[in-house]
Formats: sequence, structure tokens, C-alpha cells
Amino acid sequence: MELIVLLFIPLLGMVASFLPKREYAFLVLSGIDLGIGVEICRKVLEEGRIFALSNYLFADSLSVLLILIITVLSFLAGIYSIPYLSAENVNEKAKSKFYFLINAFIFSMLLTAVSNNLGILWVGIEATTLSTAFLVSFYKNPPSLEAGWKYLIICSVGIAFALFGIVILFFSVAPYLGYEADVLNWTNLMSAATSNKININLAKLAFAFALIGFGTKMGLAPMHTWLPDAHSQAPSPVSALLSGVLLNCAAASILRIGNVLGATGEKEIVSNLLIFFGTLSVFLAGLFLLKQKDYKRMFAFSSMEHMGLIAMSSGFGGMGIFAAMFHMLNHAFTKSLLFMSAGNVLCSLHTREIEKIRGLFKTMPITAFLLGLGTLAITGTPPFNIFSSEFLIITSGFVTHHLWAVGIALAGLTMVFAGLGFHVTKMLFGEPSFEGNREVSFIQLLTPVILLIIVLVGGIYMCQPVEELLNDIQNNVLRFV
Amino acid sequence: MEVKLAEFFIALAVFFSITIVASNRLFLGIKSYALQSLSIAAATTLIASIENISHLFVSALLMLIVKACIIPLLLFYVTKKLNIQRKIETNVTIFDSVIFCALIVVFSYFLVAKFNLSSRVLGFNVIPLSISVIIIGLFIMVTRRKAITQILGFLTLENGIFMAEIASTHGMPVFVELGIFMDVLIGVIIAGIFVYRMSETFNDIDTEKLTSFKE
Amino acid sequence: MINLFVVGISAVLLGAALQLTLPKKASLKLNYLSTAFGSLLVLTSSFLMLLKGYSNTFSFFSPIPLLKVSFHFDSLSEFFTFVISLVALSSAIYSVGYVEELVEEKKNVKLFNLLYSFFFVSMILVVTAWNGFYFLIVWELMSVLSYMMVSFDYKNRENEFAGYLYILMTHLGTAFIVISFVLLFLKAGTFDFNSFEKLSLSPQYALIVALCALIGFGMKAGIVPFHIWLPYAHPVAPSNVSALMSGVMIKTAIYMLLRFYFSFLPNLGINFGIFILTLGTLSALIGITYSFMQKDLKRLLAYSSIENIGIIFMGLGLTIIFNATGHQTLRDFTLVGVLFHTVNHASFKGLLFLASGAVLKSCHTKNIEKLGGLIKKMPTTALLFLIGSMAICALPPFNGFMSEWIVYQSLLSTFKLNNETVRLLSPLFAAALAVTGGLALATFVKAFGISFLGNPRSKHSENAEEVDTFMKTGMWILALTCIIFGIFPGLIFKLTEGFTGYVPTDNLFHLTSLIDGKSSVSNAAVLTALLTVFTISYLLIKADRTVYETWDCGLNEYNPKAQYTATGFSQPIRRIFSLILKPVRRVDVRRKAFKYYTQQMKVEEEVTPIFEKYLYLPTALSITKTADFVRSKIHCGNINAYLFYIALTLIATLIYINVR
Repeated sequence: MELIVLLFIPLLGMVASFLPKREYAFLVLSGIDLGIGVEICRKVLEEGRIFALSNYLFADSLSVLLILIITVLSFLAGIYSIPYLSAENVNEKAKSKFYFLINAFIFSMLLTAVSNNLGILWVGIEATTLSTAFLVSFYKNPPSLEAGWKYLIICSVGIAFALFGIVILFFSVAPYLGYEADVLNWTNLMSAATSNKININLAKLAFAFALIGFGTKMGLAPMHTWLPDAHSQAPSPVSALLSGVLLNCAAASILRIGNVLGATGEKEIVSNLLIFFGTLSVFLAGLFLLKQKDYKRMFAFSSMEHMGLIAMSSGFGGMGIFAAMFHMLNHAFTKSLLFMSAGNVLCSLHTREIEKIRGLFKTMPITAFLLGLGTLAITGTPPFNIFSSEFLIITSGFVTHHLWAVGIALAGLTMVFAGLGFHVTKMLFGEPSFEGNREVSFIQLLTPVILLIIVLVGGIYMCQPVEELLNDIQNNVLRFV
Repeated sequence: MEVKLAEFFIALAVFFSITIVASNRLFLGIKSYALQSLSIAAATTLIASIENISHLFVSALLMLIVKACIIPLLLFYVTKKLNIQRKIETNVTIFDSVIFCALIVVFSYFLVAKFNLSSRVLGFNVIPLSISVIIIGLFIMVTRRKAITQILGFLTLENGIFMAEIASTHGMPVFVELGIFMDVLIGVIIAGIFVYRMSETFNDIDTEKLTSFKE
Repeated sequence: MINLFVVGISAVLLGAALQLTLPKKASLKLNYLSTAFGSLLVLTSSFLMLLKGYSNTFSFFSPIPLLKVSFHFDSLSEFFTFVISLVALSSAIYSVGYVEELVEEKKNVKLFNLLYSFFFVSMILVVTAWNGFYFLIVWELMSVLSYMMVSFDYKNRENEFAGYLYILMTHLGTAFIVISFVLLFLKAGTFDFNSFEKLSLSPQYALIVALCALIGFGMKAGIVPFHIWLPYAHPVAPSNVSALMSGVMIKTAIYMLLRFYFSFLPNLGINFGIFILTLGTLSALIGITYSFMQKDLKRLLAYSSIENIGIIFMGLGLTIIFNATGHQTLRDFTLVGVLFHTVNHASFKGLLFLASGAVLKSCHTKNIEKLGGLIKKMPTTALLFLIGSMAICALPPFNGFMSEWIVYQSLLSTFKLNNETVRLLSPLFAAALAVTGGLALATFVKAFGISFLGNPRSKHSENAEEVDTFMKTGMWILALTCIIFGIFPGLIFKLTEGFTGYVPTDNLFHLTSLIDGKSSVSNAAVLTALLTVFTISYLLIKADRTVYETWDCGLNEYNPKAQYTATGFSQPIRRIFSLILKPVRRVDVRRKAFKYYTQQMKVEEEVTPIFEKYLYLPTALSITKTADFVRSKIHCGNINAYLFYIALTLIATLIYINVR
């Protein structure tokens, strides 16, 4: 029941986007959704998995993790959007479009999070692409159109591969379990895989296609090429959701399919591929980040790096899964923080170029602090939370004897630090290139500040529900990856 | 006999995907696509009647309506409306492309050679053939420079997947199938809008010109 | 005792929090006085703990796996707490006067105060951490806080660069520290230090861990060739911070290395010891040579820190050698030397940085060439700087002499060993140490002589004024410790007894050589002798004083520019070491119409920092070049190419799956 309400509310939001007070409607609705998300979390922790809609929807701890990330961040993005859109002078019609699409976007993400059925999951993921394509090209200027086109085409191709993977997965179990829709439920797939009622060769093929397909959506190198374009061109609240939330949904889908294959005993293929693509992404992101011109694009590359870390860590298995999920949570909050602070800069100074911005400490002191601390956080500097998860990732890599992968990833991380640090330092320090105090309004600062507090506290403290969730994911939901 | 016929239609679909590659005029490509969809629809109908699966008829009908009629017409409309040059511009010559396509088919067979596949109705051929259609679709997207030909490539790819679906598992579960059709249709419409906006903004839909992000 | 410690730390934190509510000037007083009070308490408690041999562990679990927030007190961490709070105490008192400058410059003083207090606390946390994961958190916290203070003057390009370089090198170092911890974790199963202590590792494994730790902590300690950040970061930081950074922060790296090499990996081979010894000698030599060449007072001090870290490393290397060969007494004795030099360097380098801060505050320049004659304007500062200089040059009766004497003794004791290599090399190392000592003397003759003696070379030093009482008090505390530790070396032996296990047979005043067991050295005796000689000569030679004008070559116009310059002073050595220093000379001559009459001539000579120019810069450039190349190839902007990558990846993955 909760699950249905959870999905229904963004749909309501789509309707509400035609009302005059649409921004507040969105705020209220996403607040309610957040409450429902918390309730689902409580229920799952208490009762284990919950199902709805004749088992087509379900929530286990991994879905709960995603639901929490989605609802919290969409609520914060809702707060942030109000001053952001008015500062950008967006007209009413465009605003209505914005809220319609963002609600559709949130709906489709929630759908992927709670769908028990692989088919529904695919529809959800494809819907995220379609709903965000226009959000990416929201400003209708040439670069955003170009980014939107590339996003649409590349992701559609990727998702099509994922669909093919799903078809093959269906084919691999259908001869044993029949051709009903239920077969594609995770629960049934898992039991088929563990009881060896699956054509392993086909399952491998399916995993390969799904990995490439969802990997495109997740931003793994070398399928990441759309990511920096799209994330940098979208309006900042959308960038925050794209980078912080959407990538995780794709990652979770890959891991779930990998879990099915892993359950058949082919763990090694899953982990090798995940580690390979993960490491490659981290390293390439490091190389790319050494020189960047556009700060939003720079943060988008950093998302690619973190997705690489998540993939790599999941490939390590065991504690690596815990670390990956923890990292997913941490990255979501930190990256949103960064995109929102970057959004403040863009909103106030109207330039994306790093070269043109100097002395932000003087021009926009609070934003500058948020940006600086956020950068320290995202590069894995303690006491922020990403350090903890990165440390666990490295440790689990060593424990499973993936020394090369960890070594390359460490080199990548160092380059990421060098690149991000260099560019952000350039923006924050020096004689200010803009005159006067250009700080943005209070509410626009409030959201990133909340995120900063979460990120800081998360570095040394983990509240118990989260710990239980992550442990459950490691020991039950994804124990075969 | 009907099984043979169905296999023939599948093979025909592969053939049409190669005609799309080989066509140097846009209209020819779109027509080939329509024919490909038609032959897949025919194969679907045949399988549906052999196995007597009712929802496959729906799929065949949708295929006929959406992919063999609406989408080609939409593409024709966009092409005419935007005065897109009819010649297909390629990065690889058409002759080479066809050779590549042959290689792709061989590769697909190599890929599944040791997999020991069996589908319910159709023989061993379906999976490798659909993989080759998928990769050919991707090949079109890689080598053709116009935005509209990229959509065509994507649609071919999608058809390959559909082929695999109906041949291997007699289609996906109904609601998934509907979702997929919806998604494809909306996707093509959105892509159409993009093409329209791009031609307004850039006066061209050659993707070579869309290279402003280089860092 | 532990309560005293907790109260001290809470006082610091409370002061830092409360100052936020006060107006600027008051906030400053509250913050630094509470920090001083807190560090005094910590100092006292650590002193008491050391005397009583207190040892305890406090652990708090965290839900994050493997993380355990645990504090540990044993003789080593107490000793370092002692050192840190000693420097922090004086630096905090000094800051009350010093930081006023920031108020005048309309900087965000409260933020600075907060960072300062937290920085002190983070250092204490580092040396009391007892879990690898938690250690890394506080370790990086310490780095980040110091980074923020280094780049506090954000508009200044120098600070921007120095801060960036510092935090980047630190981050790189942390990567290696992480590796070394994780390698230990693989064998121990937890990150707790006491489980690390129980390990017995194979020699090769231990060597890898030791090397990773060496690189990681060496970055922080500033050992050659990882030192490049140090001469940039330490000079640009505000002087009270440089005193903490140079005096104690880099020592936290020494602390962890001691833990690694003597607690976690006690079986390191003799060759590793020789390696460390060599590295230390190189650092000492290179550090002091560059130090001698500097014109910037604070940069000179920063390079001299590299030298002193080198000396500490020499002691460390010797200790490992003695440890490996089983010479227990020598090992313990040398270890005392290492710790002794650590505390000594903290006190005199702290003092020197504070004194140079005083100069900077009243002259607004760090350039030695613009100073001069300050002894008349700032007599106390001059005296304090002199004390610091004499201590750092290892002149008796100050503390530097004692610790370097121990290192010499240990070096010369190596002839007792059975290892040919060591016996062959140790005279060389001793000679290198002697050269280092000589150069250090020259360096500080230059630093003191050019800046404080003679006549003012610019307006800056002409208008100098003596600093206020707070700053003087702060400096006096360190100056007194320089003297006390020099005269009572037995005190340090007593304090380090817990960790080194060395039980001195001597009393407080003198040390006995271990080579023959007879000859001994006593600063008190030296001091008495010196005082006697001075008094007698003062009483005997009471000649009349006649004041003459300085001879000005008959030009009849005395010009301060005729004085010896810092560049000129160091020129001979620059010549001698031109092979590694690679001096670059720029001559700018302005002539009048008549060719042979020079109107104005400006000569500048600089040395090339070879490690930056020939190691780091080419590496960085080649990496960025490769990155540029790869990026421009991959991100060509063409969607066809992007799709092509997907196709290739897909095919490659399919082949992989098929082959498996």
C-alpha cells in the first residue's frame, strides 16, 4: 500500500504542475513522499521485504536505500528550485514544464527503485531518460540542445541493450519456469538461479548486455560520454538529481542482475567486469579532471569517478558491497551539495567558465565555503563521509587481493584530487573578478548547508537504520555479487 | 511449413537491415525499415498462430501499426517538413558497410556457437540473427552522420530486440510489451522534436556539427 | 591526570566556541588565552603521566565498520603530547599579540581563531589515536586545518600555490599511509594498533609496509625528496601557525614512524636502517645547503626544518641498525637522541619562527636583504632569535648541542658493529653531519647577522618597533626550554624512559659517552666555564670605549647598501655546491652615456630547486600532457565516435564472456 502511495504522489505532482502555486505543491508533495519513504524504511527494517500490486512492486533494503536517497534529495531539490527558478527568471509556462518533467522524473526513478519485475524496471529507467531529455535542454540554447540530443541517443542505445539483456535473461529461465510475467520478478529469478534452473550461458550473455546498457546510464567509462554534457547543461537542481540519484538507480539495476548471475556460481565474471569498468572509470575520470574549463562539467566527471568506485567496490564483493552502498549514499548527498553550490555561482555570476571566476571567498563567501568544503568532501578528505566509504572500498579491495585495481584507482583518486583541487582553488582564491558581494538568497544557501551538515556528520557517525540497511544489502540482497 | 516461413521472415528482417545500411537515399532507408517491421510483424503473426498465443497477435498488430506505419510516416513527415537533404552521409563507404554487416552476422554466430540454445519454435538461428540486427543498428548509428539516420539506426536496433523477444520467448509479458511500445513511440517523438529544434537552431542536423563539448 | 588532560582539551574547545560570540578583539584574547590555559593543562598532565608511567586506552565504537574511536596513552604518545602542548602554549600566548594584525587587515579573525584551536586539538588527537581508520581521519583533519590556515590569506597568489601544493602532497602521502595500514590490517584483521603490535610479519612484507609508511609520513615530515611543499607552505602561513607546523606538526610524522618501526615492525633489517640513515643524511645536507641560500627569513627556517628532520631520520636509521644487530643499549640510547632532537627542534624552531614572525610584524617583510640593525630597535626579539640560532646550531650550552651530540656518539659507535657496510659508511655520514653543522652555523650567522646587526637596509627595518609583552612572553617560554633542556638533559632521559627503556646512570646534568664509558659532557659545566670566562674577561679588560665612525672607503657618504648582503654572504658556498644548486645570476646594469661609468647595477642570484625542476615539474607536465592527449582523443565531441566506443566495448565484453 505504501509503495503504491509512494508512486502515486509524484503522479499527483505532475497534475499539480499545472496549478498556479506549483512550486509549493511540489514541496508539499515531495515532503509527504519523504515521509512515506521513511515509513517504508521503518516497515522494511521491521518486517523484511514488503510487496504490493500482486508482487510486481516490492521493497527490500536496497530499494529502501534508493527510496531514501530519491525522496530526501527531491525534497531538498524542491526547496532549492523555488529561489533558483525565480532567480533565473523562468516564465510560468516553462516553470510548469519544469515541474511536470521533474515529477515524471521522480516517478520513474521511484518506479525503478520499487519494481520487483525486471520489465517494469526497464520501463522505469527508459522513462527517466525520456523525462529528463527536455530537462537537460531546458534552456533551449545550442549547447543544451546538443547535450540533450547526445543524452537521448546514447542513453537510448544503452537502455536498448539493457532490454536485450533482459530478454535474454527471460529466455534463460523461461524454459524452466514458464513464460509468465512473474518469471521476471527478482524473487523468482533469484530462486531460479540458486536452484540452477537457468541457462548459465544465456545468463552470462544477458549480464554482458545489461552491464553495457545500464552501465551507459550509470556513466561507466567508456560509455560515459553523454554524462558530462548532460549534467553540466541541465538546471542545477536537475543536475543534482541526475548526478546524485539517477546514476544510483542504474547502478542498483546492474548489481541486481549481477546478483542473479552470481547466484548461479559465475561470480567471477560479474566481479571481474565490474572491477574492470569501475577502475577504468576512476582512472579516466582522473585524467579528464586534470584540465577542465566548465565547473559544472568538472563535477559531472567526478560523478563518473564515483560511479566507477561503486562498480569497482561492488566487484570486490562482501564488505565491498557494504562500502559501495555506503558510498552511493555519501556520493548522492555530497554531489547534490556541490551541484547546488555550483548552481549558486552560476545563478549569480552567469558564467560557467572556471577561468573567469576568481576570489569567490570575497564575492560569495558562504557559497565559496560550501564549494570548498564540498570539494574536500567529494575528493575523500576526512572528516567527511566519502572518506569513510572510500577507505572501506580500498580495504575491501586489499582483502580480496585486487591490488592492481586498488592501485590504479588510488592513482585516479589522486589525479581527481589534483584536478578538482586545482580548479576549485582557482575559483575560490585570488583577487575577486566580480565586484561587490554577489551572495545568493538565504534559501538557496539553506539547502546546501543542510547537505553539508549531513555529509559532515556522516563522516564519523552512522545512524542505526542505515547500518542495518547496508548490512542487510551486503548479507542478503546482494550477497552473490 | 509455417515454422520455415516464420524463419524466412526473420531472415528477411536481417536482409532489410542490410538494405538500410546499403541505401544511399533517406527515403529508401525509411522504406526498408518499414518493410523490416512488416516482415517481423508477419513472423510474429505466424508464431502466434502456431503456438496459439493471443497476446502475440496484439504485439504483431502493434508492430504493424506503430513500427510499420506511424513511425515511418513520422520520419517521412519530418524529412519533408525540415527539407532535409535526401542523401545519406556516411563515415564509411556503403560498400565497406555491407562487408562489415556480413562480418557482424558471422561474429554473432561465433558468439553463440557454444551456447547450446534452443527456442520453443524457431531453430537455433534466431538469437544470433537478432544480435546481428542489433549490432547492425548500432553500426548505422556509428557510421551515419545525420540525426535522422541515427534515429533510423536506433529503430533497427529496437527491431532486433523485438525479433529476439518474439522468437525466443514469444514476447515479453504483456504490460512490459506495452511499456516498451510506449517508450519507443515517445522516444521517437521526443527525438523528432529534438531534430526539429536542432534544425531550427543549427540550420542543419548533421551531427558532425554538434561537437562543442570537447573537454 | 587524565581528567586534567580532558579539562585542558575542553577548555580549548570551549574557548574556541565562546569566542564566536564576542567582538573581534575580545574574541582573540579569549581564544588564545583559553588555548594557552588548555595547553598548559595538557602539558602538565602529560608531564605527570610520563613521570608516573601512566598508560591507558579509551575506546568508543562507531557503527561504521572497522572504525573505532579510541584514544591511547602510553609513554610515546604522552611524550609527543608534551612536545605539542609545549609549543602550543607559547605560540598561543604569542598569538594574542600577533593575530591583532589580522584584525587590522579586516580578515575573518574568528574563523582563524577557530582553525587555530582546532588545529592544536587535532594534533593531540593524532598522537593519541589508537585505531588506524580513526587515525587517518584525525590525521587528514590536521592536514586540512593547517591547509586552511596556510591559505588563509586567500587573495595572495603565493598562499594559493603553497596551499595547493601542500594539500596535494599530503593527499598523496595519505594514499601511501592508507596502503601501509591496510597491509597491516590484512594480517591483523582489525585496525587497532594493539593488534598491529602483536603481529609478526615476514621480513619482505614488513619492508613493504615500512616503505609505504616512509613515503606516506615522509611527505608530511618533509624528508628529501618529498620536501618540496615545505619551503612554500611554512613561510606563507602566519608565523604562529608556522611555528606549530614546523615545530610540531611535522613531528607527528616522526611519531607514527617510531610507532611503525619500533612497535609494529620491530624486525626491520639492517639495510633498511642504512637506507633511512642515508636518506636522513641527504636531507640534512640538502636542507641546510638550500637554507643557507635563502633570502626569505621564514623560507630559510623552513629549509632548516628539512635539515633537522634529516638529523632525526639519521637517528632513526641508526636506531634501526642497532636494533637489527641486537645492540640493545646503543639502540635505546640513540632512540633517546631521536626523541631529544624532536623536542629540541620543536622548541628552537618554534622560537625562531615566532621571532621571525615578530620581525615580520614590525617590519612587514621577510626579506633578509631589506632588514638590518634590528638589534637596536627590537633588542628582546634579537636576543631570543640569537638563543634560537645558537640552539639550532648545536652550540653549548643550549639543547641542540645535547641531542646532536647523542647522534654523533651513536654514529661513531657503529664501529662496534659487525657489518662492513655500516662501518665503511659511518665515517662518511659523520663527516656529512659535521658539514651540516658547519653550514647550519653559517646559515644562522647569516640570518642573525644580516637581519639584526649592521644598519637598516630599508624603510621597513628603520621603522621597526619592539613587539608587545604577549609575544615576548610566548617566545621566552620556548627560549627557556632551550636552555633548560640544554642544562638538564637528564630530564628528557627521564621523560623518554618509558618508551626507549634506556635507564641513564648519569644524573640530571651530564651525559656519558657510550663509546668509552668515561668521557662525558655537561652543559652546566660549559655554562659555568663560559660565564666565568666572560666575567673575568669583562672585569679584566675594562678598556676605555672610543666611538669611531665606520670607514666608508673615503667616499664621505655612508650608505647602508655598502653592507654585506645575504646573497653575498652565501656566495662562496653557492660556488662550491654549484653542481647541485645550479645558481642562476641575473645582472641588470644601467649605464649613462659614458660606457665605463655604471650608474646603477643590480645583481640577483638564485639557486635552482633541483627536485622541483628535474623531478616534480617534468612528471607533472608529462602527466598533464598525457591527460590532454587522452581527453582530446576520447572526448572528441562527435556522437558517432561515442557510439563507436559503446559498440567496441560491447563487442569486447561479448568476446570476453564467450572466451570465459
